[in-house]
Amino acid sequence: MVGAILCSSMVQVEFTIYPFQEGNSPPAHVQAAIDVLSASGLDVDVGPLSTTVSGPADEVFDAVRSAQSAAVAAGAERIVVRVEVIG
Amino acid sequence: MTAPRNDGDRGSKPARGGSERDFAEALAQVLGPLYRVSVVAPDGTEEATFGPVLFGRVVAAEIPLPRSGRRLVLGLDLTAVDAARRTAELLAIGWDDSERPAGAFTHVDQAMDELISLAEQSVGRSLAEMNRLEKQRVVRFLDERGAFALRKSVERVADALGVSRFTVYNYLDASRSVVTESPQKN
Repeated sequence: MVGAILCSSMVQVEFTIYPFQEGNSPPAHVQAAIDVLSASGLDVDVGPLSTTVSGPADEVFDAVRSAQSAAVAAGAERIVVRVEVIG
Repeated sequence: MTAPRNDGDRGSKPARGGSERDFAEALAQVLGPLYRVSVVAPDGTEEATFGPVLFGRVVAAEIPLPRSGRRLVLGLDLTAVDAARRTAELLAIGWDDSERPAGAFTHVDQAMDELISLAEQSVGRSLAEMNRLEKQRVVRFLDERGAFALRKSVERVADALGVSRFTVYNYLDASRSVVTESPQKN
């Protein structure tokens, strides 16, 4: 299975959640996603334009999926995601 | 293209002092396409002209040629200078700011670095030290000034912010579309 191959990979997932709102703290629909990722124990970096999470592929994908659901529930209209295999 | 245009002699007499004509022609070539160089006789007759026909606002300088009594008239087209200024203003931020550093752009290749450092000066700290909002505003600030039309600009800004180029493109896409969408939506 493809999933089995990915499980051993390390990935970095970066995403931007829209509507984009300028501010010193992320808007609610972004914060909802960050909260989910932070709870996962994965390495999370909240940047000015995007949020990045890194770790084992299966864990990252699970966390990102939950984070996206939380973001949509909090009012996200679009989520643009970039996945990179880093090891 | 840069070859000077010779209007020829305006007077009926052939121009004396051929060396003055030659000098004017050589000068026009050295000064380039924005300048017109004329040899003017003591009676005001324009004996020879090299360089472009000038339109609009023209500033001129006169240089006496004592031996013959003629003078050289150097003309510069200010409308071309105005156009150059507009181009420079598109590249430059804070052009009118007193905080603008004394150094101007030396190469267009450096324009992106200059723009980023000007943005940093306007905020008062380096990009790395800026908070979230300041970083977001710097990106918008740069975009509003056409910075992302410059070569390698997205790469440079992405590196400075610690995000991917993809994210910067994405952000630009979204922030630009918001401007046109906002009147209809929200």
